[in-house]
Amino acid sequence: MRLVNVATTVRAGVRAEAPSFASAAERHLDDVYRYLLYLTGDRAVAEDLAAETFELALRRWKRFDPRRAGVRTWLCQIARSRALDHLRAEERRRRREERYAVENPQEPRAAVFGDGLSPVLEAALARLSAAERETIVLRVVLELDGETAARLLGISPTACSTRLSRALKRLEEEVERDDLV
Amino acid sequence: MTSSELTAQLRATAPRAPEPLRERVLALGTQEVVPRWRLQLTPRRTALALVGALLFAGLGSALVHGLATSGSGGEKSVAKPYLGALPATTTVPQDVQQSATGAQHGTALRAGKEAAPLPPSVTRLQQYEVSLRVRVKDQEELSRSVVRAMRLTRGYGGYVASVDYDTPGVRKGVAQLVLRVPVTKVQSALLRFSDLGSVLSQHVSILDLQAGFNATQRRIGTLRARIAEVNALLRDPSLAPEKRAALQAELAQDKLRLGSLLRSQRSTLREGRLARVYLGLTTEKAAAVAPHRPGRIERTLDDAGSVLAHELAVLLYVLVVAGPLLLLGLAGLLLVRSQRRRSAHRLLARS
Repeated sequence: MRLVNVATTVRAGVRAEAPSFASAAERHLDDVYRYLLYLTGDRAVAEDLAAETFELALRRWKRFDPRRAGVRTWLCQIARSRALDHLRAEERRRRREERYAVENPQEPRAAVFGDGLSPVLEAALARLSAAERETIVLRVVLELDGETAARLLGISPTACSTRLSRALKRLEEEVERDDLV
Repeated sequence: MTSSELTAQLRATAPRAPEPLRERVLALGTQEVVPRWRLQLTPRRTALALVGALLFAGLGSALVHGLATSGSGGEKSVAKPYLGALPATTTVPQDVQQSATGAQHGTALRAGKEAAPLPPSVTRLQQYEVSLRVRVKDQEELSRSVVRAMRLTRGYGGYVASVDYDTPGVRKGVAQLVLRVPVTKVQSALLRFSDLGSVLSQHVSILDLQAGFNATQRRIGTLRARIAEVNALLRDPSLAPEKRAALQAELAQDKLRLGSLLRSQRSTLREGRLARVYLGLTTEKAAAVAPHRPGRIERTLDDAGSVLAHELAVLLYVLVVAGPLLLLGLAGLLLVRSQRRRSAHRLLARS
């Protein structure tokens, strides 16, 4: 009798750990969107990629193993893969069409990276590379711990910390530059 | 603006997903993905399944083979000792050529005795060694047999190299003799030794010395020719002093070498001329072992075991051959992964 009760409890516990896709999507949509936004620097692209991410996640939902990584980390991994594919395609397209704009007149940017973000900070973020913004969004905006972020990026936690401090330093410099101007 | 102010602002103004996107994604959540039955194979599960299948196949085939062959029954086949003819050759010193009579005696079978051991070659110089173990009735018989063996050896023109005689108990006794017998007489001698009692075991070892002997003979011939040539040159009165000195030095060296080769040749001849017989005499009875007929299960396991051993040998061979390739493949895979990571970082750095 005791064994049966324990088994039932264990089974129930396991079921509770693996959330439903609907609840996971609702809970982590903003995080995935923010991540893609910082990577691509483009709201429209981030929206499309976020939708693709969740479509792919739904197809792979049965294979998700909560023991290996959290739901948010798993979703961000899929999002990263989608974003990299998009960036590669964009790079090929730019080379093919030879429409790579080196010098563009500075147009007033619509707010991309945050609702209510100062224009100085917005412009500074836009001048960072996608790699620098990626580190900032994972550690600062999404508040992932160093180990999780490092695993997502495929680097060591030490390297991740170094990248974050460099990215923040660069952001500071860009903000100061704009302030001086 | 400090880092902490920046981070605070970034967090405070983190954007939310726009409503159209939210509706689109949440609509996905209501869709039922009809689960098709598919075997979800992770790399770990695949590896485990593969290893299990290989083990099962290996054990299964070994057992099937064992069952199939164990039904044939009978004793296991024993490898027959090699009794093939030795190759004929060219030159052999005359004093070690075996007489035809001796060879015939050596190969004759005697009733009630073990078959005569392999005779030495009549055309090649060989190191011939025989181990013979004979059982005698008692200590008195042991003592008489030792004396007879020694007399026989001397009678054949050989000599006794060593004798070790021991009687540890009242009825127990053992003697070990090392006898050197002319190789032309060894077959006959062995038959006489066999008559001392009941032969318990015998073992023959033959090492060919002819090739080495021939090579040394050729070198001796070459050296002798050179020595004669140098002597002829030295008889010339008009030879320059430096040349004479050089030739004399060469002559001295060659003579030393010749002496060494001749000594080596004599030693080889002695070795080939005299066979070594290790004669063991004992009063102890050999333990009577009833012939064991293995049962069906034992035969099955034996056969299965030999197949398994063979499979393991094959597996080991494959691992040794394929191991480096597998390692290379693994290294390649790791390299590709590392490069993909680096190229992704470069792409993001450029974007």
